[in-house]
Amino acid sequence: MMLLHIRKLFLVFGLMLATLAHAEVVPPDVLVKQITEETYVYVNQDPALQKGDITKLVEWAEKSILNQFDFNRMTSLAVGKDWRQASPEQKKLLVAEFRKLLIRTFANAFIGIKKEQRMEYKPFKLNPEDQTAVVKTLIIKPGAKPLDVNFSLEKMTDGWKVFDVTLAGVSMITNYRDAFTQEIHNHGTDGLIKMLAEKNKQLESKGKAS
Amino acid sequence: MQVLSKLTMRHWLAALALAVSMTGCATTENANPRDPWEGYNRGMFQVNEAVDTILIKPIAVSYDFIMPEPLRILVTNFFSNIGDVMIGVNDILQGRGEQAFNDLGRVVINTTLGFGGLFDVAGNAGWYKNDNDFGVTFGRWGVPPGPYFVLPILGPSDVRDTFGWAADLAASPLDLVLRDPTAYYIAWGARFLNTRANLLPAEKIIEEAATDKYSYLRDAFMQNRLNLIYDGAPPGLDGDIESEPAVKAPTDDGKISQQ
Repeated sequence: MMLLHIRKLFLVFGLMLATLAHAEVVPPDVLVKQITEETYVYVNQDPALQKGDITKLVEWAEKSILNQFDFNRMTSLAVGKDWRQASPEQKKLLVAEFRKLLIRTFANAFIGIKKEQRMEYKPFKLNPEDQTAVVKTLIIKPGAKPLDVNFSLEKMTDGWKVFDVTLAGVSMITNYRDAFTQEIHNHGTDGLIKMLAEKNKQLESKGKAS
Repeated sequence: MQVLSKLTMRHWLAALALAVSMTGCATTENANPRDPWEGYNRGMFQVNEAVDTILIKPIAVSYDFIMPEPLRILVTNFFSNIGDVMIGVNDILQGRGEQAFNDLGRVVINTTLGFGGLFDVAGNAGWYKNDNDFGVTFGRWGVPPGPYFVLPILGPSDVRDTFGWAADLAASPLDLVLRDPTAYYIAWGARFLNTRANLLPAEKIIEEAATDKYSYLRDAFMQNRLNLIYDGAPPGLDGDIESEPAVKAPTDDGKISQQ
């Protein structure tokens, strides 16, 4: 009788430990689900966002979900092999400008998602030794082919971070590489920084005008 | 096959031949190796953009404005159902049995229960629509894509997919459904317009995201085709390690370590 109790106690204790250990790191699939559902709920609760208030969505994203994204890695992937040649200062500026452009693009994409659309999460498996993972989802929209949206994540010390998003196989990150490489070859890394800064400025002023 | 599709096909092949003959004078520095005809392509891209801005987009915007969304979905579904026939055939040509079953099953269900394809009953039941065409079939059979090639009006393509597109057009059962040539033309126009209108939201995102719209669309086209051919798992794209010797796994402080 006593033995049984002790065994039970051990079992409960073991389970608690296991949950505690897991609570430390949110697995990639759960993280992606959290990010997308949070954003979906936020976009749909506010009529201003439905009408396309990008600024408001970006402000919210900065506070809530963007620390789950690795913009350093994203920028290095977009720039490609020329990243090596950039100075630390140039890298900082590149990340800052590219981050701005990407957040706006993500916001634009998310704001278009309407109530009648829903997201489906494909089965996900993670091995304990995995350092990167791809979480596959599907956006289902009436009257359209479902859109494949995949999130690539990497394991960092402070949890999993998203470093790429692909839509129908098109990476929103590496899709920039040819354009960036060309700009660096024509006008150098500073040219690329300038081009991105101008693009962002132009989008900002457009946002204010409308 | 009707005269119309044969004629159109011949037009496109003539356009292709013309494009090939124009490539001699069309080399640009720092060109993408897959885009040796960048000079011609950028030119045709500009022409397409202009035609779209002046003519096609305004009509598509009006269409979008006039057509209530439920009605537009019916139009989309109708053409999508006809398209599913050849998607299923291509599945078979590629030896994808399960997908062929899904896609041809969609045609049967939607044509009957969905009132001639107006409603995507199958999709609502979880039989989702797939993407497939002759270009993908050729690709899976081992035909290389060849140079990137911007088609007049239709936009991004490559040599293989231009032939694929011609095969799609020739094989489409739309002319069997609509035997009257006038009805066929109208249907073709409606399909084109409907497709263009459906692209309006995506276009706005691309417009704001792209630093160079031409290369953005080109690279997106190439990635998307590769993804279709490799069934969602194209080689060498996962993390892009081979073309990316500088970027290693992130270090503890979250920065990218370098060699």
